[in-house]
Amino acid sequence: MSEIMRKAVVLSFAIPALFIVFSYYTGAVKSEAARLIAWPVTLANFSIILGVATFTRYHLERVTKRTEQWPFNLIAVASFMITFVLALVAKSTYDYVVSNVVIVLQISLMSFISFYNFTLFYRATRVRTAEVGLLLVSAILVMLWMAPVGEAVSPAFPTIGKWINDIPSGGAMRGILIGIAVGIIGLFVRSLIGYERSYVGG
Amino acid sequence: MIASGRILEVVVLLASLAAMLFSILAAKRGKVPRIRKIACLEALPELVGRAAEMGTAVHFATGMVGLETAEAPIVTAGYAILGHVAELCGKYKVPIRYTAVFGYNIPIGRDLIKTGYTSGGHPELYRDDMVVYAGDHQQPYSAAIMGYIMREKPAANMMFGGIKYETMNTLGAGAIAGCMQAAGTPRLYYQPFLVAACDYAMIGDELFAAAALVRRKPEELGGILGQDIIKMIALGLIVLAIALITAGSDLFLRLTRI
Repeated sequence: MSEIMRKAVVLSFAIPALFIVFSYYTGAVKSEAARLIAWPVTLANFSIILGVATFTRYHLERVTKRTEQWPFNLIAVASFMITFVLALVAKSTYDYVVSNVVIVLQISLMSFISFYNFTLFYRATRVRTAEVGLLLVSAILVMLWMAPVGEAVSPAFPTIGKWINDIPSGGAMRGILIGIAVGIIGLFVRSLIGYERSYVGG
Repeated sequence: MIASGRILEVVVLLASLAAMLFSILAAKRGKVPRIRKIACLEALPELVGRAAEMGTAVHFATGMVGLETAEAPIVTAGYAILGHVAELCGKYKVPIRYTAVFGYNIPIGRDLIKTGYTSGGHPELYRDDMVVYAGDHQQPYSAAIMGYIMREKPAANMMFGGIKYETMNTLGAGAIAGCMQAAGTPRLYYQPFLVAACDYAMIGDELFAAAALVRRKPEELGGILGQDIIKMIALGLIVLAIALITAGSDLFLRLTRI
């Protein structure tokens, strides 16, 4: 990106941001600020066209070049085309495909999380440091509070788990939250005054 | 002039602006603050170096949070790290793959990677297909990353930015594929997963500090000092609020409502 373009991007962020900040704190020009806030959402929705073009080109190139596992690229493009055409010409069939194929696949994918939870838990247990040990003991105690089996084993587990969750963990979380809020303010202020340009490669 | 109930907010914003400007100008005059090292940021060359040794790629993602949301600063911090990693990849001649979730991620990602490879000394290694669009939803996004990781087995997997539950799937896949992993987000609920799943993680506001640290410019380092000054002010206010409320005064509560 050229230096002029970089400055233009930084300014195109800073000027509307200043306008929105002014409107928020003074209560003036509210409708104009609301319209300005809606612009990025509209622009983001339009950018899906760019996404579709890139997606189609990427997969078709791999199909034509017969790269490794190209049939999967073909399936990806074909699935997109079929669903897109169905949405335009056959709404009921499209709804059927969404309910019986897309949502089912999405649920299956989401269920991976439970398996990966165990993978990550196992991975964490391999690290032998005092901090990780503390994390694991706390996690087990909180799980025993959340799961009905904890109370069945001992009525102390829910009390201990809740205490860990509300007091040490809650306090630490709030501390981190303050740091995050300050970080966001810092980045916002740096962007407003034009010193934060690393996101445009500057 | 200022809307009722927001006077304290304006005071905080102006104080933050003053603290940031003061520390940035001081840094520009030569008083550059000493910043502690962020282990995860320091480890990025190691991750890219591992990819160079193994002859595989580096995978990068900035997460599901969009630039049109209130959490946009998190995403821009992720972009800053992407630019830095792309520069390292250019230096070590390592291919990078960036999985984009929104259409506008594509030109931004391409530009950052191209600039990074150029700064790293090998612009000829850049290709447009280093940025792959996965679709505007969490499921195709995580499926695309998981599939890529399991098929290509990149040496390093990095996720910096506004990451959501796709983190679990993608870092889980990375752990199984034997990737060296680094991730960072200020989003609160995903931080324990990052710590459990990654070799290096940035928690809390470390990602924002890292975004400023990558270029090591005096004004950016000064900005970090400004943030610390704001934190000290916040800490002082917390202590004051605790003291006043414990003493039975509602002065602080009334102050927050002006």
